Amino acid sequence: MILMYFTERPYRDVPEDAVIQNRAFFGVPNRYFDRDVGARLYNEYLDEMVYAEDVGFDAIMLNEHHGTPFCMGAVMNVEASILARITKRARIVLLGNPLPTFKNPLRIAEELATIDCISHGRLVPGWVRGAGSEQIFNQANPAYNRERFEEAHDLILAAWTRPGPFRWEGKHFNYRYVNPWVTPYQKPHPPIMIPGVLSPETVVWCAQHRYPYLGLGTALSATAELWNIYGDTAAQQGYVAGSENFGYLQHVFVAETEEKAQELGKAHLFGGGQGAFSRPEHTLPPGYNSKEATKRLARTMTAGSGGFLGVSAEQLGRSKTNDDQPGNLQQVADSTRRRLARGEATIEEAKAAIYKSYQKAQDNLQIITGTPKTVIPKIRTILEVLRPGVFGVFQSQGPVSFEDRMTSIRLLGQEVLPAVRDIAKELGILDPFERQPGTRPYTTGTKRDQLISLEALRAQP
Amino acid sequence: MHIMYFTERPYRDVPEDEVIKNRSFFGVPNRFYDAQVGARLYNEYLDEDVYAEEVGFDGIMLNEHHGNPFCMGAVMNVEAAILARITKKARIVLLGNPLPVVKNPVRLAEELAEIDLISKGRLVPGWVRGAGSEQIFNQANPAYNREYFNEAHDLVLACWTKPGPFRWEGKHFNFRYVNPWALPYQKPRPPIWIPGVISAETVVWCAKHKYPYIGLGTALQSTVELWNLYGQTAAQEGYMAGTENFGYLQQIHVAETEEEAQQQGRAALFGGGAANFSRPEHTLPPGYNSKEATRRLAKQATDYGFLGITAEKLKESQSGDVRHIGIPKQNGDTREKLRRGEVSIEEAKRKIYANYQKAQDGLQIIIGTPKTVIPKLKLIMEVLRPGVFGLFQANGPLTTQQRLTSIRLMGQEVLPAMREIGKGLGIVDPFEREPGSRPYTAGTQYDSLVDLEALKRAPKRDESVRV
Repeated sequence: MILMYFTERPYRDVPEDAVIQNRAFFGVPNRYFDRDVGARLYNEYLDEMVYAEDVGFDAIMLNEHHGTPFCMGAVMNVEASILARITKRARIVLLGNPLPTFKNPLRIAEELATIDCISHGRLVPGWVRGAGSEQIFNQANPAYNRERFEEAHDLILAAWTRPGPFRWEGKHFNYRYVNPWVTPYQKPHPPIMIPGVLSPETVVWCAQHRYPYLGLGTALSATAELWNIYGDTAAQQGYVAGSENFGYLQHVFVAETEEKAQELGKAHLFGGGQGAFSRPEHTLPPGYNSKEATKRLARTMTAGSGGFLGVSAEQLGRSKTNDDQPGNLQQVADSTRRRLARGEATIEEAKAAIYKSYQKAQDNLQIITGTPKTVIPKIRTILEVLRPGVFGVFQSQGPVSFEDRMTSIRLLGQEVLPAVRDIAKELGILDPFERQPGTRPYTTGTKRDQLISLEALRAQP
Repeated sequence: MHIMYFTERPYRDVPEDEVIKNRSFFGVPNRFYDAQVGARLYNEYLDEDVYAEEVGFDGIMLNEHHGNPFCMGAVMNVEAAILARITKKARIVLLGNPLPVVKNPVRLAEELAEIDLISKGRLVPGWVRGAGSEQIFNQANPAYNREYFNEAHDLVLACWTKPGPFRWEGKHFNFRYVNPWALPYQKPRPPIWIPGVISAETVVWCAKHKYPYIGLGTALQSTVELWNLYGQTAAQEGYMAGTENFGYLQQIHVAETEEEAQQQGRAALFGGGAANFSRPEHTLPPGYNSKEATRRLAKQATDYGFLGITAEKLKESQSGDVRHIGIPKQNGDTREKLRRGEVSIEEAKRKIYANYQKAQDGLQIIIGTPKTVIPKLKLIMEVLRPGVFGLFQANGPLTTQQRLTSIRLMGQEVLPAMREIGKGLGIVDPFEREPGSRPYTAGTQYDSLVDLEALKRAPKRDESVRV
């Protein structure tokens, strides 16, 4: 079991009203950025990661978003570089570098190879297509998103594994002379993991490449469906997928008492939470998804699937929301956004609607908040249903103090991590470092491994 | 006086014969890279930087080169990020980010802002056009090099200083929505320095922007001319240039005894040294310099070569004799003979190391004990009066211990002496006096930037010696 610590490194001092008024985190003008706060936060987040390693996490996960107070890791390789030097044994897991927004993938190959060398082989690079807002910010044509993703991926892997010099003449990238001096520490190349939010195309691509796929807090039922798509694809490719092929990221916040946990845990809804990451028109710009993928997304993303990064079933015309009784965080964000845009709600009303969904968000496991004693059974449920070899703990987003965040990390290390390791052992969960993904051959006609537990899923609310 | 520690972070274990056989460092195939060695070296260089801060250096300078065992800092911002966190007070001086090859200047602006924030305002970003080999490596059209440089520079500065969101529609870069969340710690923006190797265009551009110009080990006579050009441009721009507008980088190695120093210092010539950085045809690809700049370079580069370029090569390239393009005489002569198989690798090596004493005589490299190197540094300071002085640790196969000893001796003896000398000469650095902050009144005499009397005492470089 690989247990990862993750935080978005939010700029927690952004005025909540400015986020709500803007109807998203992406697009809040940078005049709200204060350098002293920023300098303090970047360093505190590094302190947290060092502490997370100390208390027993196996890995530190980073991500990248541009132009948003939601995540200060605009160039997460800066933080990855620092972690390579200041941590000692934790894996540095990048989920992920947004390949289509890079104009010079060869530079990324050099950068990551350098980081892998400095860390003595602890880097786990991952790739993402980037949310729509990253395309807008970086002026990357969304229509070529998938093509750029695949070509940049192929080029980086070639730069790492193919002896130089060689020539690369692709559709989007051309290099007459590829011969990076520095190549990665890990041979033949660092292990790669891919995060995702319910795109079956990505799941199939991962299975074809034997890359572990990490669900980013996606609804359990929809995630279970995707695990099966991965498993079927793996069988077609001739190997048996298992727990080593999967990972899951879960928001967890822990405090000393239930009261304190419940009070502080609300912070995760700050500004509308993940549902207010960016406006739908920025998350899904024209061309970002193929027609087929959009259709599939509309079909897969049912009212219960939660939604992600500003896109929900409602946005896709999939279901209707009763504004008074929103079902999940994304729906709350959508309904408040619509009402704000029409001038039908004040900022105060929007805030009230957001925080009203707190209990429901806990009931359906979108957020897990409590003492070690109360969060462990909930994490157990997730492990039983999804059997992920990699489990990421996503620290609270909103205005929780540094001290309370550190307490959460300490309690996770002292009580939650050992319990989770025991549960994983009991369930026979192996991680990608214990069993290399894609190493078990599949014999045609036989039954592949069960990847999820439908019984555990049915027992779920 | 701002004193910086600098190393190219060379991959010291590259077989020298491969470099010579390849006729330059750039282009050695990456099969000679061993990740175990690389991992150790990167960390040792970071150890050196931390140690340099401890012994009293004011700044750590980094540079960037691609596809080259000469310098492992292919993306130096990785190291800059680490230094931001593991050093406490030293300035982190980037000389520089190669703007024309970066391709997404907004991302660079974000990256450097983060580093400035993490370091709590210790970053000094600098920009370069990048050697020709960087253009080749990164597939950056050399013909647009200057345009990319100028536009990327303007865009990065706009990101840092113009409140977002705004739109940028340039010739080479277009962004519909510029609104980076994290902005630099230093306001209105971090101080910017520019390194150079005798390009008059760059000097004039620096003077116009009031950016300090750092001469990278360039010959004293030509450097003096450039300083004066900067001073004239400054006067035209309405301000007075002074020591705060200039910096100089000098290759040096210090040991406990003169014998050890002389023995170890030969490492600076390893593989042909900086003169063998890349082949001329890679250093100056067609279009990289304007016609005018190439002519000026041919006129000026009489006694100095850099990164594989010499006056002879330029003259030949202007003569239209295509057989000689890219093949300079002297060292280049050896390069050509190697190519033709007329000289053995052993003979080529002998030729390289035969220059050792002359390279010291011409101050291309300064080797010795603190006692013997200080007078040489003093002479440079007298002639050029630089507010910023970079000490460039010798490249080549020195041991880690020898390198650390050199740093310790610099900290214990050389730095205090340089500070005294700087004080005596009235040298102030860009942090003591803001460059461009002293107005110039037209018609008056402006400060003398160099000491021509001291220059007369300086040794003349041997034209045939390149390191």
